[in-house]
Amino acid sequence: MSQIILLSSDNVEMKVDKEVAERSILIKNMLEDVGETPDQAIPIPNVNEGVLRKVIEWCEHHRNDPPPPADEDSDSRKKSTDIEEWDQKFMQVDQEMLFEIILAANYLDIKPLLDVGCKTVANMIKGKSPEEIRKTFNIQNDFTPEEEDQIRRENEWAEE
Amino acid sequence: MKNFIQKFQNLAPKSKSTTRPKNDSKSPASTSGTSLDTIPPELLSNILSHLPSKRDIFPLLLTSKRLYHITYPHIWKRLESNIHERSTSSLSHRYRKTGLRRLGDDITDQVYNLNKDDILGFKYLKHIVFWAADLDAGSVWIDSGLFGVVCGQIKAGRMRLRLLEVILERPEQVCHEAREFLSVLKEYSKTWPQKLKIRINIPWSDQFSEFIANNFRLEDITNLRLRSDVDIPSDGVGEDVVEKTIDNIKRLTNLLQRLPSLKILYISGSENRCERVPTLVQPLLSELSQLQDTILGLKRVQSLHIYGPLFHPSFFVTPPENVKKLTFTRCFSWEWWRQFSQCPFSEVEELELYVDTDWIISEWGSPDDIDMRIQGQNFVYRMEHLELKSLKKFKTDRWVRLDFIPEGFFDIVVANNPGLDEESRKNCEIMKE
Repeated sequence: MSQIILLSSDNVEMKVDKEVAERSILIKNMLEDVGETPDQAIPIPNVNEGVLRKVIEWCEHHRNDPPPPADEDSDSRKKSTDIEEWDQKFMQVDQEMLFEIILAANYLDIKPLLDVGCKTVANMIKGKSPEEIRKTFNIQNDFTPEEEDQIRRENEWAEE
Repeated sequence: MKNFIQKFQNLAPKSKSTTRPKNDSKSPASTSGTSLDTIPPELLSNILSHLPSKRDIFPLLLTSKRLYHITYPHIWKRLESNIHERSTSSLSHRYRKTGLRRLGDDITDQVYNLNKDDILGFKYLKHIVFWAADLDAGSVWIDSGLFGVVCGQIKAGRMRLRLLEVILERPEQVCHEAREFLSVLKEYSKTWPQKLKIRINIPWSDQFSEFIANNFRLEDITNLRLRSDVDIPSDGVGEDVVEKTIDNIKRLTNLLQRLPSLKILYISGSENRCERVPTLVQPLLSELSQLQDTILGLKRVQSLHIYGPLFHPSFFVTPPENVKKLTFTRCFSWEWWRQFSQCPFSEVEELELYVDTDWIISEWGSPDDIDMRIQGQNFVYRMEHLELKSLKKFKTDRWVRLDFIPEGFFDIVVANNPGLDEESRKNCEIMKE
């Protein structure tokens, strides 16, 4: 099994199976372009050591998954918030790490990981009031009471 | 090698704004770094796409200005009446403070402090779902005046739908306002740069094909679900039933020939006495062979579901070349299996076969087919030449009568399809026992 070396933004080298690294479409396409297995470390400038380790852990566990259906029309691509058990546990990290994983999955183009991350956040939003959401995500309320009132009135129809 | 590394370093991130915020700290306990309030809009949109209910998105509007601006289009993305608005009891919705009626009232009452030409978020509206009740006279879409509003928005070029879903019950009763909306949509959508996709769910009737042809651009239809709501009465089988059936087959054939964009096709038949009587089926055969040819010519169809029996128990449909997902429900007779065993399946990856437990399997084509009672336990089709080789998934329900399944069928499915997943293999093992 051929291996490649990834270099995190804080200059830590990590050896990974090529097959695992290729869960990242970004890395996969690059390796295909080059056509040979590089012996030098591949820099991943946007992702630090801790996050990269997490991402690799996920790719290791999902190394044999079939590719996700590409067709947007197919009913199989569920927009639900169901997450399989292993992924749920994997996502039990502090909030900053959670968002870092989402950013890294987006940058590295690992669609299933991106979806798991986004679903996790969606679950944190579900069923909460505006005040609870602000508290959960540490968001500053920058509305005046009048603005808040106006928004509430204009969008109340959507509050199903 | 150096070039390679450089190439990698110069690679633009997929989203320009994914670079980490400047104040990022190495400490994992820090809350000043990446958060819901700072992640790029397209990622927040991805998160919102997992929240299909407006009720879950609504509170985000009120959290902060940044989140308001990103969330607002999502509130508008899709319009669908709620279940109360579709119920026949008018009291239940008259006093509701939310939903389409409220939106319509608010527009009429000018709650919005906006230029009238640019009403609200209609420009973000990409997906409308019409339930049958929405299209009847007196529906919430009419009461609220929203049909008129959306027509105006389309005509003014401010609204471009991407997806329209229509679930019909009685096409002949669709009201004037709804027809007007559909005709405006038909007229304007042809100039939109991004194609509109239409999904239609409609029952068999004398009018289904005419209604579709008159009210939609046929090129836009990507999904067609033709369902049977009522069984044809079982008594009084005679020539009129044959005639009616022939008309229905002709209508369907003719319509399918005019749907070049169709990707998903579901056709459901109903029990119809004439399908069990050989002398009544005979006159259908030439029409049915035209229908088969037409279905075979639907090159873009990727998912095909035949819920039978369709016209007669042996009516078998060879899937067109690009079908990846194939489902047969209740389409089983001896003759059906014979055709199945010889069918060129090309690229089918998912196959589902279902038999309702209360369904009587037809003897059609069996050596005893004159006697309609179930016999023929020893009748076996040869499956060695089964051309089903690209399967990844295979599903069945629990068969009513295992002796009806051709001998060795599950073994051959497993042996022929090395790409079959774990679950499907297990399923075959269970079925064999």
